[in-house]
Amino acid sequence: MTDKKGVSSIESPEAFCRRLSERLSQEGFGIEIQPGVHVVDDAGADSLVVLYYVLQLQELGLNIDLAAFDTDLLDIDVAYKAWIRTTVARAVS
Amino acid sequence: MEEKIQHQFAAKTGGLSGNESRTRSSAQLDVAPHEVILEGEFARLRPLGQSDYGYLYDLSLSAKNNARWRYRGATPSPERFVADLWSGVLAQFLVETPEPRKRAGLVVAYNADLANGTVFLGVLIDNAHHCKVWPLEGVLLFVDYLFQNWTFRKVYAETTEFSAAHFSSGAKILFEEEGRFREHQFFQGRYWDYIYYSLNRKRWEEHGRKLLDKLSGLGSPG
Repeated sequence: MTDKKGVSSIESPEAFCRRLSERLSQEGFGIEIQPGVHVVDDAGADSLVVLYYVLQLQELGLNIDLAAFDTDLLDIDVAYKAWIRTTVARAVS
Repeated sequence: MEEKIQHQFAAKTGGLSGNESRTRSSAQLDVAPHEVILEGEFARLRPLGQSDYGYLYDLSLSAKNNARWRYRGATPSPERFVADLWSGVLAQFLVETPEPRKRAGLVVAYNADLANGTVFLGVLIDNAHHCKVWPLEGVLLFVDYLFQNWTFRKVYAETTEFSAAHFSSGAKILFEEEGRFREHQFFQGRYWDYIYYSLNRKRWEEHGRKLLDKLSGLGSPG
């Protein structure tokens, strides 16, 4: 099942990470995102990469208000769970 | 589509009347005789006041910043600090958090060379806001301000190798390395390279402003 943005509503953590890595790569960032990593502490993202990472999460369907940005989202597992919740909620509504 | 990053000049006269109902764009520049404020979707930049000096002194000499910022580990007197704060400065603003507004750092343009169209950019952000993303909007707003208000060709940033790790990815997108002094600066028992980056106007207009637009788009989830 896909939504209007072409985002699969059922996706493994690995596929989610691969998608993020590919999108960041297209923006010019060679950062490897895998399940279980922290984007900054483990993958070494600096502030600009973090910004693009957040933009990609947004494009994947997560609604993020930077004024109340939760840095827990830098933990890829947290981001994945939030994305799943959002995707499921969108699918049933 | 409304151009969201549109800096507008508006005079705050105390009796705005007709201007009061004006819709504020996400990034708006208000100019008044004593007040210049750059406001983004999240971050706000405002001029420094004397009441900010103590905050900036503490921020500059904090354990995290002392070696990275101007004093490289030294501890100047408060009087010397204030004098240095304005030395060679073209423009500088205090970075403020999203509402409720609190001080979060400093952006400064210094050593401007108006004849040759270059200026240096300095950024000092409180470590409490590390990875919060929105402080970057403040930096981008300031760079946009520099390119919009002066005919600068390039904005330079100078930094040590150990600090460059905090933004080196930008070298692929926005900045380019202009030069490097090998093993130039001593810190924590070894010498580090000293690096000069530049952001030219073309790159800013192609990438930087677009990034600012995208950032403003994050302000209204739903």
